[in-house]
Amino acid sequence: MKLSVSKWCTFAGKEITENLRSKNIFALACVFIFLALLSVLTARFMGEIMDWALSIEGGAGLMMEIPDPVWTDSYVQLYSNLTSMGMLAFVMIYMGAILREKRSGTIDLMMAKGLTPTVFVVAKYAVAVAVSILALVVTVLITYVYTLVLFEYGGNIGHVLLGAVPFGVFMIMMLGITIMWSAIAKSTAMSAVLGLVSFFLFIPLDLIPWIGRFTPGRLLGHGVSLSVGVGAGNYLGIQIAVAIVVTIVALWIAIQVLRKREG
Amino acid sequence: MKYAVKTQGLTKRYKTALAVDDVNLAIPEGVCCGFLGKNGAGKTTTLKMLVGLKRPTNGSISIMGQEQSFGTQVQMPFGYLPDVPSFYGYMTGAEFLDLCGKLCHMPTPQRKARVKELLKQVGLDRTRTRINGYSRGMKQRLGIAQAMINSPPVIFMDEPVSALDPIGRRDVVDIIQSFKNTTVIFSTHILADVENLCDYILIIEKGKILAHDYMANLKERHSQGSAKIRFYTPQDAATFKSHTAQHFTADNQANPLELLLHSTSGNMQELSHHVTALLQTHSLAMEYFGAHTPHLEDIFYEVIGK
Repeated sequence: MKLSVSKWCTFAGKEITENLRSKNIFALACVFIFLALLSVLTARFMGEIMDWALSIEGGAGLMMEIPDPVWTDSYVQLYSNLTSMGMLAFVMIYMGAILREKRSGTIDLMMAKGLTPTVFVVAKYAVAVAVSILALVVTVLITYVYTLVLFEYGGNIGHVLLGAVPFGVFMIMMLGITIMWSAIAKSTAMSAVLGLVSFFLFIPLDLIPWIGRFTPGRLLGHGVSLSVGVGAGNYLGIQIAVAIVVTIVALWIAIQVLRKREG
Repeated sequence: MKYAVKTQGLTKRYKTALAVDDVNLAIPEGVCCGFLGKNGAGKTTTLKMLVGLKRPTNGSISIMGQEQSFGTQVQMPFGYLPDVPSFYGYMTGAEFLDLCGKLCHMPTPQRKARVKELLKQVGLDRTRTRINGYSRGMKQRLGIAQAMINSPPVIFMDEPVSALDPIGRRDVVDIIQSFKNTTVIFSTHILADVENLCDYILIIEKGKILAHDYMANLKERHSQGSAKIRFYTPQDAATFKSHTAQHFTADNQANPLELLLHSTSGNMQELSHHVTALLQTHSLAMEYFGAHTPHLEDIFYEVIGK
């Protein structure tokens, strides 16, 4: 047990180095900082943007009633952008996490040094989660500060950070699923497609009567309400629990795939 | 005798094929063992089972007296070099060796010293570039260094020289030759390297071990009843060959003055008598007559029946 923990720490350290040197962290940081700034700017200047769009040729004569922007619009835009572009960035960055090592053969060298599939998968996943949570927290804080600057009020910082929790849980579930596909897929493209299909499958699941309210896809809708201090409804706990179970199952499958590969 | 590697009934069966069939090995400690076989004979599968990268369908493995249980080993009593070693290209050679040392639970001061020592031994101590910039030969040398990081008593190498140019090959052979007190088991197609380096031979064909013994014993066994004779003129060689009959056969060699003789009874003394009699009967003068020691290549072809 002690030796496994030591191997886990060593391999997780290697993963951190890899994230830093492969610029994964910087790519993710750039995408998320861009999304934070874009969200607040879009919220603040939506009226002006629409006026400009309508004034150009072809839009003349059209009238549109746009309400005055308020600080909560920043969080509406943020979670909308994170759900689309942010999730795409996660899948793209981590779709090859295990696949690359399988294809290059580095996994064989590591396993021949006594690294088990469990340590291998869990270390990769843990570092991906740490990097992603860091990116999410930084994004939310930038959004808060920039909202404060442009709207002169950014909401309650505690609520804003709490608002990131449901999205964060969904995100770490998606990371687990992405890692699983990365262990199963034969190519990076296949891993990316499977990751994105899995993500888009959670959206229609929401619509299933009665069951829909317990599905993790609903977590994506709580970011705004929690950020502005409104509750998240009665089923948040169950949705988080389901997301955790899905994550554990996904990681277990990834480990079994690597074990089977050895056999 | 102490054995570095022992297997009993080692078998690997895939859905449609039997890759390794009931292999029983006993490789003595301290030997350099050449593992020979055609492509697809089962060398890589056997090596991967020995190092825990493939689960055997049946059988047991013991390395340095320690039973190997698939998937549960965290401390490996061996080093392993795969056929095409891959590394994390963003690391330097020293960083990669340090990672391997950490995975082998080496204490920091010992690990740092060992990394330095190994980089020097494989000639990479002056290289500052990341592994991405290494040539194939440099990668192979780094691969050997990582296999040796915790000074294991046994090192398995899968085709360590096959893909290298002559200089890279010579470098790797020199490194293998420098191993002391280590059992080395390596698979290769280059029989000349095995002949130069190895004192123990394994030959596998269709998943079955057809020969495993010390090189000297194999050579002795396969030389019985064979002799080489050299004449002063090609005419004498031709005359001699035309009169060989029931007691021995004679095969032409590249040199027209030489013949390779095989006694039908396998008895060297008898062969010697028959040759002397034939030489006297036809008044033939020979320059040399002596027992023929086969090359590894001859033994290999004979064993696999080609």
